[in-house]
Amino acid sequence: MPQNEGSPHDGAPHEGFEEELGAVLRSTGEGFSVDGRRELVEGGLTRGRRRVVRRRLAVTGGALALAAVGIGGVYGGSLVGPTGKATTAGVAAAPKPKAQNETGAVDPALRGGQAQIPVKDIAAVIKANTPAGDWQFDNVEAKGQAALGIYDDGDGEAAVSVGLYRAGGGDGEAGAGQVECPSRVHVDYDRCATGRLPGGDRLMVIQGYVYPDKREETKSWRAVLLTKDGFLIDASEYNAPAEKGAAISRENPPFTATQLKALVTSDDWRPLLKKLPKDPKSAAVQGAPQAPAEPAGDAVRTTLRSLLPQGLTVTDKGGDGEYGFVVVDDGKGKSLVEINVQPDMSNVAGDLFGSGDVTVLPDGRKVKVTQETAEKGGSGVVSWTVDTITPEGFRVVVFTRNSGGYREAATRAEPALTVAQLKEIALSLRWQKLPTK
Amino acid sequence: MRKSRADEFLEFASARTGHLFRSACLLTSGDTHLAEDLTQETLGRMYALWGRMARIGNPAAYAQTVLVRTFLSHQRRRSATERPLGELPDRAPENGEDPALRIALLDALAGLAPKDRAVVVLRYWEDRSIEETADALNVSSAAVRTRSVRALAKLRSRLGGNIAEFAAR
Repeated sequence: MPQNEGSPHDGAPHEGFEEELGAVLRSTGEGFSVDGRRELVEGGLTRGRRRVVRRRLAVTGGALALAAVGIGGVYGGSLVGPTGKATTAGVAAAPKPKAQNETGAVDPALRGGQAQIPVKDIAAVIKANTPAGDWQFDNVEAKGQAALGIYDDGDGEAAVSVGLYRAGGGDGEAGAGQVECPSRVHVDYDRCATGRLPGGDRLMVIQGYVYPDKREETKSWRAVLLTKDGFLIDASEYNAPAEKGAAISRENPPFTATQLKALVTSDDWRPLLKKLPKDPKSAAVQGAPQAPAEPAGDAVRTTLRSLLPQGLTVTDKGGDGEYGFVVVDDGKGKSLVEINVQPDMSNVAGDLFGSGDVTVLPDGRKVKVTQETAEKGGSGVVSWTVDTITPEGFRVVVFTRNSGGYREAATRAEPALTVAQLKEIALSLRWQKLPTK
Repeated sequence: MRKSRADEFLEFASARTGHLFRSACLLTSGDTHLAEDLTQETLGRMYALWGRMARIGNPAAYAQTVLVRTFLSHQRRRSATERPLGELPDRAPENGEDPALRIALLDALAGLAPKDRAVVVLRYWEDRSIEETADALNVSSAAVRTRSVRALAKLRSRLGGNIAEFAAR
């Protein structure tokens, strides 16, 4: 960082103080741990992609609730906050690599074909399938695959958005993550329910918050329908006229879970869904900014389980692609154990292994152990990390903490797994042999 | 083309995110949740305009400007009540760090108006000149001077002598 000399700081009475302040600011600023950097980058990338999509959809407005642009990815990003709020919540928190998953998603902006559904048609279906009230829709003259409106039934204005998507892969499976309730390890919410409807469509309804840590009281209620022929209809509503940045206007969003379900399950969507561009597979290939082969499906998660020491009960598990987690209990309290398996990380190897307790193994792999007080969670929560990387840039990093989740208090003095056990997991050669996508 | 653009962006983001996040932590006077949000928002904006970056010249500096503007517009949009001091970094202090002083500084920063805080962060953490600070904030140099003097006086009165003691170490 450049030093002060060049800046003509004036205000003579503060001259000495300015230098002191600079020193304290630097010391304080540098004291903030940047361990969650990679997740921040991924969160930023996700938001950037959404931003590009929005621009192309020509839907403007700071509070656009374009839900689930990155369909096919894990839930989090689009779940509680259409603009990646869950990513935020989990960020330095959950090392949850969503970018990779979303990369493979149906991201219309990154390919040529853009849905050309008149926004006014989407708006009309919304209006026809919700209780009477006043509606103002954004950009009704535009074309796209999502509509955002403000609804007022007399009890306060509420933002409502509906997006129509093709689930990745076309067989509906890649969208399955969109209709599963997220683990509370990562996202806090009031209620979530899922189910298969008569006829085979799958529905998820969740009532949560725009900010999963509830630092603002805006509620985000959402229903997502995955049709058996591979379409996603994704509706969100808020108890404020905008998803973010607006004061709440009512206690709850306007539509009940049943009303939201009625909206997403309406047959009126069928003619519009047919207009969605096909061939999401090639889109996934084209849109992928990170080429290296990503571990397939739940291979990371299942391998993690198989490498756990004996005598542990797994009380929760999840993950997708290169990320997996388990919550384990050895009878003395829960511990969250997470892993990222990242095939091509050579570009950030310097950042990751440039400092700290790094050892180099005979085969050239670097291993870095970090034991620290956790940045998030209650008092007494500690976080242990074993980070490893091969000379080719294949990274396996295992994290654990002495609590069952990011917002939970410590359950024990130390995590259930020792550093040696974490090393054993991270250094297993099985990671390099995982099936890839 | 897109791919290399994305790679370039990732390289940039990997290199700059740590610093952006720390800047955001200071801007938010220690609200790490909000800082994460602002950092991601900034990266998202940078990604969206990455193709035009060639014309911008210094993306690292520009990202800092975007961050500060994102922070200020967030402040404008949020309801009138300023959130009190956010979550403090709860890690163990390293050598030479005085946790009490960290808290005092973040607390003192929280007592400043958001724009004054932005001035302090740009000038004394980013080491920007008055003119550069004025550019970033879209205000006049005179306004930056006024804010700067006011903010320093306030910080000085709140931090008192212990800051000098720290700096002397």
